[in-house]
Order: sequence, then C-alpha cells, then structure tokens
Amino acid sequence: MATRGVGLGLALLALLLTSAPALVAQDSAAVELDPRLGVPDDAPLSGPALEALTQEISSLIRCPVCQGLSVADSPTTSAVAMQDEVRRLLAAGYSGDQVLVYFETSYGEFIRLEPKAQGFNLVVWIAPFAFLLIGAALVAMRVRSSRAQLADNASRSAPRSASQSQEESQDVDHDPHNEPERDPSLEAYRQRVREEVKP
Amino acid sequence: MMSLLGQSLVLVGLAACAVGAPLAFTAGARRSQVGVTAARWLAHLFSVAMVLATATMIVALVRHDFSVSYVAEVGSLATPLVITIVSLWSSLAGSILLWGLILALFTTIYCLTDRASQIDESAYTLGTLLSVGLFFSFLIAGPANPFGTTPSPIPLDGPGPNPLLQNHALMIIHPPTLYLGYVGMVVPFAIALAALLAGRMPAKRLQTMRTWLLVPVGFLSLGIMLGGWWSYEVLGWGGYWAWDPVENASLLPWLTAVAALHSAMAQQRRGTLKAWTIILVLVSFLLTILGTFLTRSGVVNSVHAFSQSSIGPTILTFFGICLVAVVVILALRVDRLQSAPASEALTSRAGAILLNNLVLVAFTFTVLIGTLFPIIAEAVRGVKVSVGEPYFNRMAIPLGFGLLFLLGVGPALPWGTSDSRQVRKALLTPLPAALVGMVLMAWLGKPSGSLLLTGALGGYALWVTFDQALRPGRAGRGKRSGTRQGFSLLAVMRSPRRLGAYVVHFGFIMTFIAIAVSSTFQTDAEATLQAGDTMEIGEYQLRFEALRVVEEPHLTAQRARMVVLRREGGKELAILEPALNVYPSQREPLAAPAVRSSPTHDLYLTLMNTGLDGTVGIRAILTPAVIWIWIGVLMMSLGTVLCLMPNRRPSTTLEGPVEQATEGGAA
Repeated sequence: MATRGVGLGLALLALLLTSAPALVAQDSAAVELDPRLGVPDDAPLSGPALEALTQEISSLIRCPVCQGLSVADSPTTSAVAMQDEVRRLLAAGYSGDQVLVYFETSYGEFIRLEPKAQGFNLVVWIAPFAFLLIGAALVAMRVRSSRAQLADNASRSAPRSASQSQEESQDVDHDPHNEPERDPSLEAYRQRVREEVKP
Repeated sequence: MMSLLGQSLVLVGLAACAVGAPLAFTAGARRSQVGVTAARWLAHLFSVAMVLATATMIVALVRHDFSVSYVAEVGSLATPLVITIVSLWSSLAGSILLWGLILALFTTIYCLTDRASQIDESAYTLGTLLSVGLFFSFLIAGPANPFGTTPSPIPLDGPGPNPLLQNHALMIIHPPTLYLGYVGMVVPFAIALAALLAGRMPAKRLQTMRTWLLVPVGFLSLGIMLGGWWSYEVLGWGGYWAWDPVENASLLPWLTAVAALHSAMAQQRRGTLKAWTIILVLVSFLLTILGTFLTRSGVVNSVHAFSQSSIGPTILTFFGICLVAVVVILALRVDRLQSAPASEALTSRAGAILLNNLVLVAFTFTVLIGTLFPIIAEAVRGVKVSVGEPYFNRMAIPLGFGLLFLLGVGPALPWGTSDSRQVRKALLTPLPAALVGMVLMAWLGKPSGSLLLTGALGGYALWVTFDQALRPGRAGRGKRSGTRQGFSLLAVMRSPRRLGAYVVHFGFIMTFIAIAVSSTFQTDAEATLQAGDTMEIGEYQLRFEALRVVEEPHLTAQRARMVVLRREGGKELAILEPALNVYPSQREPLAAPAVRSSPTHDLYLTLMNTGLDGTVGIRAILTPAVIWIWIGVLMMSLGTVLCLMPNRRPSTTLEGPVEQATEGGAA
C-alpha cells in the first residue's frame, strides 16, 4: 500500500515535471518523452483532428484528484495538465490505446473510466446484455402463453353490443372505480351478469 | 441541556416504534381493531417526538449551542442564519435525523389517510412502517447520534458546514426533496408487504399503493433534477450528471418505481402482473436502503463523500435483514395473490408495458452492476477499477432510446387486442411527426445518428402524447353524429390523472431532446487573460476587466469581472463574475461558476486559476438547451402532482363513460 502511494506520488511528480515545460513548448518536438512509451503507432496529428481525439481520449481518463470526473471534464489544474499530456502524446503520433496504456502504467487500472473488456471485467460488459436477453425471453414466453387466453377472451366478448365495442375501439380509458375488480375468481359471476343483462 | 432534551425525544420515538411495530403486527394477525388504533397513536407519538427532536436541533444550531456534538461539528458563528438552519442536513448525523423526521411524518400521514377495508391490511402496513421507524430511530439514538454531548472544554466556535453545501441556494432544497423521495418509498413498500402478508391485493388497495408510489417518484424526479442543477451551478465542470455512484443510487429506485407505476396500470386494467408489480415496489424500497448504504458508508468514490461515516455496516445489516425478510415473505405468500392469466399481445398497450418494464429493469440492473462493480472487482481481483461516464453512457443511451420508442408506440396502441388493421393505423398515423422531428434535428447543423434518432422518436412520441392527452376533449362529442366536432377542454381537465400522465411523458421527451442537443453541441474555450484581454466563444466575446477579492464572514472570494459582448458590433450584454471561493476549513479553493442562461443556450464561465501577475485562467462553455432539461423534469414532477389529484366525475351521468377517461394511459 505504502509503496503504491509512493509510486503514485513519483508518477505525479514526473507528470508535473514533464508537463510543465510542455505547456510552454507545446509544439517543439524536442520535448523528452517517457521511454516506456516506445515507438508511436500512428502518424503525428495536428489541428482539429488532434483536438477531437484529445477530447475523446481524455474523456476516458479519470481525473485522479476529482470525484469520478474525466480529465476532459474536470476544471482542476492537474486534469488540465493531464489533458495537455494527452494532446502532446497524440500529436507525437502515439495512438489512443498507447496513451491509455501509458497512463495506466503510471496510475494503475483505476485511471481508466471505462473498465478494460478483458478477464473478470467482462462481467460488467456482458451481464447487462445477458440480463436483457433473459428478460426478453421471459417476455416472449409470456406473450406466447397469452395467445390462448386472448383467443378465449375474444370468443367470449364477441356477442357484446356494438356500442360497447365502439367505445373500446376509441380507446378511452375507463375509470377503474366504476369497473368491477378484475378478480379472476369472480369471472363466473361476471359471465352470469352479462348473460342476464343481455337484451 | 439541549443534548439531553434531544436525546430523550429520540428515545421516546424509539420506544413508540419498539412497542408499536409488534403491536401492529399482532393486531393484524388477530384482527384487533383496538390494537390497530393503539398502534396508530404510537405512530403519532413517534411523529411528535421526531418533530420536537428536529426542532430542538434547529434551536441548538441557531443558538450556536456547541455543547451539542452535531452543532460543534457543523456550526460556526460566522455562518449566515439560513445556512445555519440548512446545516441540519449538511452532515451525516443531522441528515439521518431529517430522514427520521420525514419517515415519521409519512407514517402519520399514512395513518390519517388510511382507507384500507380490512384490518389486517392497515395493521401490517403500519407494522412495517414502524419497523423501519424503529431502525432509523435506533440509528439516531445510537450510531448516528446528533445529540451527543461535546466533551469539555466546549469550543467557542465551530468549523461551519461543508463549503460545497454553502455555495449555492439549491443546496437548501435539493437534499430534503431527495429525502422525501427516498423515504417516501417506504409507504408503498409497507403496503406491498402488507398485501403479501394479508394474502390479497384488492383494486382499491392497489390504487392506494399507486398513489403512494407517485409521491416518492415525483419527489425523486425533482430531487435528482435539483441535484444535477446544483452540480451544474456549483462544481464548475459545466455538466449536470456524471454517473456518480450516489447519483446512480437515486436513479435506481426511480427506475423501478416508474416500472411499477406502469405495471400497476396493467394490473388495474387487466388484473395481470399482480405479483410482478409488488416485487417492483419491494425492490424500489430495497434500492433506497442500498443507496443509503452506498452514500453513507463511503465504499464508493463519490462527490457525496461528505456524508461518509462509520454507520455503513449498520445500514448494510439493515439492508440484509430487509432483503431476507422480503425474499422469505415473497416465497411464502406470493402464490396467494392470484393474477389473471397472461393476456398480452405484443402489439397492444399491455404488451408495450411489458417491454417498458423489461427496459426499465434492464436499465436498473445495468446501473446497479456498473455502480457496484468497482467494489466487486476489488474484492475479487484486489485491483481498483473505475466504472465511469463512458461506460454508463454507452450502456444507457440505447436503453434510453428504447424507452423513448416505447413512450411513443405504447400509448398509441389500444389496450385490448384488436385487429391488425387498427393497430397498423394507430402506429402509422404519427409517422409524419417522426419525419418532421428528424428534419428539425438535421436542420440544427450537425446531423449525427443519435441526434436524428432522437428527432424521429421524439417527434413520434410528441404526436402520440398530445393526441392521447387531448383525446377526452374530442371523444365526448360529435364522433357518432359525424360532424366535425368542437373541442372540450373541460373534458380534458376533468380527468387530471390521465392528463398528468401525459404531462409526465411530455416532460420526459423534452428532457431527452434537451440532453441530446446539449451534449452534441457543447463547445468550450480556455484562455489565460490579462486585464483588458478578450477571448471568443460562439457569438460572444468575453473581456476580462479586473480581479477583485471579496471578504465575507465565512469565505474569501476572488472574483473575475468578465464583460460579455456580442462578437459582432461589440454590444455589451452582461457582466459575469466567476469566482474562486476560499473557505477557512478547506485548502483547495472551490470554483463558483457564473452562468448566463437563455432559452436557446447557456454561457458558462469558470475561473480556473489566478496568477501572481494578475492573470486569470478562464474556461468558457457554451451549451445549448440546458434550461429545457430543468424545465422538462419540472414538468415531470408537475405531471405527477396532477396524477395525484382526484378525478372529477361528470356532472351528469348521461354523458356516459366515454368522457371518464382516467388513470392516465401512461404515467
């Protein structure tokens, strides 16, 4: 725990040291880059494309001193410095993935606002879909089992008067207080009443 | 002295619950009217005790009686009076006291309005309410006691409440509103649990539960919106929703409760989904307790960290007890509640409600697992991971579109099964509105797929919403006589519940569109300015004039005076003063953004830093349509109020049932 804390502190210090000159000499290519980064995957970027990608990538990086905000959103000084760092790396041609990995090696997996889709983390990505699928299957089963019931209802309500069906077709909701309670055990009585009041 | 008084009052409340809860349950089992009456009086005693205890705390706060531990924790002589009163909920112990107060008041209101036809139904409900009351008064009396005595020497002054909470007037109403929603969930929960225990849920009882469910849903909508607005006005990042664990915690019960409101409608109309509705209501309450745990325990990293404390394990235990009780009672009793057999065609309103429930519950599950995953991952892998905005946006946006789609299609569909020609007609008629919506969105100038989809679904849903809301006004007249009839506003007003439901839908659509537009078209600019320098954003030019330092009793503010000019012509429009507030108790200064709102867009300025040479770092954000998010949610809350109003019966019965449109095809 303590070593991790020290590591984090060192990383922060390193970041401050590297990003402070970056603020001044953003465009000069002479800026020292962390050797851990290796060779850039992509071609150097500039202009609006760089800005858009910077925005995209820094919205995936957690501001370490804030409460759950991304580096792109947070107004704090350290978040601004980190966003500059992202911009600098992207400008030098590092890919978005490389930038994320770079920040991850400095800060740990915590820095990614979106959990990497691998290993145990797959749970958080897959579970919602599994849930939705199971739910959809249940709904489908219910709708299927409804068919018989609906056919039954339809044959029962067929002899109803014309005005009644017209009201229903207009789909104006009835006041449930005036409606008999839809207790299935009363269905037999209801049926009898219907027979009796039939003109 | 105040400590002793407060503590005794809380103990009186605790005793009232401790005696009342078992008394009510026994009275229910024995169907003893005397027992229920006695339990009611104990519930009122609980209320009186909580009201007096809260009053005692407020008096202690106002009189700066630092011998009371909570006052010593959050009080300060320099704090203005209103903030002093509000600091009742600025820290943990006080907010739990407020919680207890609201719970007690809801219990009393329930007792006064209880119209249950059977003794056991009211007795079990009351027993459940008092049991929850027992837990919270225990919390107040013990683990989260605000009335402790400060060890001597008693300080002459205190640190004052958390600066974040002093920063904005919205903090005065956001927490109590949210609490009203959170705590309010206990009443429908108690009614649902009582229905299980009694083994029946007659239509009248269902209506009562639905009404009691509307109350917390309305307050939650409002409370969540106020929280978002506060975050926008105070936190300085220009956003209003960050999928913070505590924000999520407030959304979870809202989602399930909204699902329950819809399935209750299917139950009222067709007698189906009885057990399902009850499960949703039970889950909603469990989620509020889980949310309380997440907020109060500090297990998740959140902006609400101010309320962290050691009472986490106590609340988790309570959550566990509730969960077990709910599962056991469900398992034993759910078969007693007989639903009508399933009868939903997919292309009917009942079918749409099924899908609506599916989407809402899947939404709940996604937010829940995303919120809890960091805890799970740390337990399983021992590694800290984050699940933040990018994840939630990716998952929630498709589900949101699903909801918007159903909100359009559902109310367009007729309830019963009808022939496919009729269904096709109902679904095809609003399509031109979808096209118009799409064209309007494209016209805004940055046609992205999600924006066009929002336009199409939003347009469709708007048409259906207005068509359905105004239908009672047209249905009463003419149709049969074949004339092009007049429109009766009276008929629309006569069924406020139906109207209210569609007002809620309208508010939802408005909010949805406003969120889509505002997040697509947000632009920002940053600059470091010397006095006299200007920066530009959108149609505005911003000129920095001067930085001034304002000393107030409880804070020191650095304010950057920014003149807002129109870029073309240079007409002066406004003066905004974004600030950095330094509170004595806080090392880091807090940004206090300045916002200029208009119906079309907001100009949002944050003072990021100040240099020794008099320069300021300014961030300007231009976001369109933000104001419509607040208005939309406000409409949702207002619609909920309409849903609570009794339907007026037509003056003559001759008009027939056609005009008695009710219960909102929607809400």
